[in-house]
Amino acid sequence: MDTKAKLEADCLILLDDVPLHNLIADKMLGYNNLLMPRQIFSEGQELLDFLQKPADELPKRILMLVDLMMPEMSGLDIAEHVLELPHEVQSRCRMFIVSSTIDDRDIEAIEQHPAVECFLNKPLDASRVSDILQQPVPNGKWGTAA
Amino acid sequence: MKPKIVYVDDEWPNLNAFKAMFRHDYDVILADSAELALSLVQQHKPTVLLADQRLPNMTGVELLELVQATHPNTVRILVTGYDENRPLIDGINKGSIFYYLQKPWNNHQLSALLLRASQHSYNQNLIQNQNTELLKLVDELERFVYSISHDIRAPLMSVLGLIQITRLEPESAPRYLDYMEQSVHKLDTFIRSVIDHYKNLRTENTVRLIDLKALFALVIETQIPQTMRPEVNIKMDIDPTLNLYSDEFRLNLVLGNLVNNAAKYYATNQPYKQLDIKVRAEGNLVTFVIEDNGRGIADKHLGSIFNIFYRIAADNAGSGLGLYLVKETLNKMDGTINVASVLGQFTRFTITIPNGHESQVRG
Repeated sequence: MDTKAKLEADCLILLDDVPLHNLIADKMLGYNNLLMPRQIFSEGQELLDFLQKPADELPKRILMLVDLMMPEMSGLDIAEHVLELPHEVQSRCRMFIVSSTIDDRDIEAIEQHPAVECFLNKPLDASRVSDILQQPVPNGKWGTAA
Repeated sequence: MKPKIVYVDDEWPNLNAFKAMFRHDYDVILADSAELALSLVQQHKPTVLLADQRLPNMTGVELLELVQATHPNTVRILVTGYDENRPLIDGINKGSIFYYLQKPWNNHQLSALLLRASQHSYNQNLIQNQNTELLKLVDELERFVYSISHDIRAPLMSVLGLIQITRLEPESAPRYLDYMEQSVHKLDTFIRSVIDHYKNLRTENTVRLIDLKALFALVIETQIPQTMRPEVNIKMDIDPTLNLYSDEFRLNLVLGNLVNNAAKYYATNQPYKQLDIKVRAEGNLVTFVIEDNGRGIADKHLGSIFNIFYRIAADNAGSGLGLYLVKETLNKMDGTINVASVLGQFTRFTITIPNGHESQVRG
């Protein structure tokens, strides 16, 4: 861990197939003063398309809050795609998975996935997001040394 | 049908005596070699195989062992004239033998033995069928328990989140109350689908004369939201000569789900909402066609839409249970379902069920 780095995200992505869940997360984050620019998506493909943007158009510090159970592409499917992105893009992304699941197998798979930093339960507790962002940035992310 | 017994012995007087004794109660098939017995077992899958221990080329124990591997449900009995323990011990140790019978046999004793062997075989089959059914149920239960964390917990967590933001933003309470109401309805729909599914699994068909017009009126009233009804152009074309005898609960479940989907997945780009319902009888079969001009289903999903918990739409309108329930219900009715769809144009479900008969109506 780089103990000096405490960086703000410059882009917050919310991805959930249920618009209501995005609304709740958006409100919760707002009430916790997490007011960075938002991108709100309802399908995994929209997020992947966003990450394909040219490097100079892509924000440098992206925080992604991604739902687990979605049709077409689950949160873990997206995590797999993230691992295939160019290293430069991966280093800009921090991915949290948000879900209502209480299934141990789900939680274990999320926590062990190299592209996922942590698992958060629904409804989103934005103060936890705030706390995590107060912690040093993991090595190799958001411009810190790998 | 009489239980089949294959008896293998290299002495024809024994074979003939056996057949004479048991041909009334059993379908007796004789073999004078182990090789012939193997092919007869393969062909007839008998309830019981009786093998003499002393056969040319192979012992009875060896034959029974081979049969155990390929036809474990065939009850195996070893017959021997030798008063020696070796084959008996071998046979029992290798677990391939149901009973050890010594020659010369006592007809009475053999008769009772064959009856027991048949019963044993029947029980084995019963256990096997029940195990298959049990495995399917366990698999379903696993998936159901898994779905609880999403399909039951997710709407609850939404309500919880909405309560939290309502506290922070009391002036928006009316809007959030509407969202809470939607979440509660979603949860209720899921629970009702699960209950319908188990009712479908556990009850027999109750056949009665169906008033199709009244049934469709009920389906439309319950499945198309009141506010949407005036916007939907419903064309109903029911064969007026048809007397349909079927299970009303199941038919309502199938048609209800299909009409509900048509209402739920309407296309926002169409100038009007169209729902065509057609019912035709052909011989003993009745075909229902339910077609809408809604958003349609992409080709890549068509093969999976009847799978449990399969969802297409990213707006979370469905639980992934509806069409699975439709398919399972039709299975119970000996019916079939087919789907044709073009994305952005139409979806057409065609279901076919057998028409019952007045004589099936009970009480």
